[in-house]
Amino acid sequence: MDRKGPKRQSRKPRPDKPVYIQSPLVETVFEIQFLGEPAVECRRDEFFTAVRDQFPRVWVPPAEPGKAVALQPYLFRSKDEAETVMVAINRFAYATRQYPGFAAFQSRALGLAQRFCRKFGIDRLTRTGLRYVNVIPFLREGGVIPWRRYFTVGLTLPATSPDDFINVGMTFESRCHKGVITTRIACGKTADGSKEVFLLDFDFAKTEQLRAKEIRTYIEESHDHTKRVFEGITTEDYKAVMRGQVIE
Amino acid sequence: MTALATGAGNFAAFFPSEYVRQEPRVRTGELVVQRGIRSRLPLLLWRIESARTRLRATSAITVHVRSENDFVFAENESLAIFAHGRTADEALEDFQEHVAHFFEYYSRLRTDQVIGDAIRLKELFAGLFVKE
Repeated sequence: MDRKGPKRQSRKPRPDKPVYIQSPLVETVFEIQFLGEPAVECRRDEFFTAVRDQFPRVWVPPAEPGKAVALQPYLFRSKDEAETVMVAINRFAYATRQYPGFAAFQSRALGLAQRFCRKFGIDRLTRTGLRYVNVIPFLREGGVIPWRRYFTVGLTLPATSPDDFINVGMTFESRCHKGVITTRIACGKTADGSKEVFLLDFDFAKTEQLRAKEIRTYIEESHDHTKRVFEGITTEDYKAVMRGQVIE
Repeated sequence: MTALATGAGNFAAFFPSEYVRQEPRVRTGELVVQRGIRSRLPLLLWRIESARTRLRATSAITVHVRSENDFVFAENESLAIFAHGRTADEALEDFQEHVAHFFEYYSRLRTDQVIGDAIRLKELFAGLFVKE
């Protein structure tokens, strides 16, 4: 230890060892919702001051006719714009395009959410949501989407409508004892138009009897269930690709 | 007597006014997730379709696609395939033609006819692809 005392630990937690080195994950969001709390709007600057060293860029909402200004969120973004904190009168979210592993993500999201709740005295929550947005590029085979190479789920169709899909879009909600998971699988193109992709979007939500002090448990439950769904929905072939078992 | 009308405009007339759409939707992060789909991942091929042959790969092959000076390049370093075209589709077609060509080329060569990196490539093509 030097004379100045122990060095302060970096606020960014150390990344976990990634399970999938070719992960299709592009964005992860943790969001809490609560009954409207005017203090958030009146003292938004106080929260910004607390996080401005990590989120110095401020994005303000555009005025939209017919929409209440108070419900529009402010976004605070990191310098490289990879991380975002959203604050509004009835919700808070942390989003990141860098996912260093669940433990690091949980620590970061939890730290910010708890700081937010303490600052504005928020205890009861109306919803928590953990969302994983995955983008998987694919190449058609004979003009058809190679659905079965990536996904174990499908539709049982009569022989007159074979599952040689040329376009796919589906969203379904399923209940489990800890919450509701919404799964969206759709086809699209990357912004530059160079690749066709599957959008695989998971949103695990909890809505019953939620307390701010239990956020850690909610994130863990949401993650565990979503992970199981992701593992179940993707084929062994594609899991091998994510583990890096490909001819590069 | 009124004629039976069809078409989207008339459909509204038969739609119950109190109907509330309840389509499932992803709600978390609606106001924060960034627009525009991006992916840094390469494309994957499990099947090669060329004019001359069809091959099945026993393991996925990555294809890195990039644009440069009005051309699109499709590449795989391990297979030493560097294809190109005016569009991504052309480049990918060219890539598959190259794979089919080299598969047949290395199949015809005897082991004592290859040296250097060609030894590795002959083994790789033979182990990786199966003719359909």
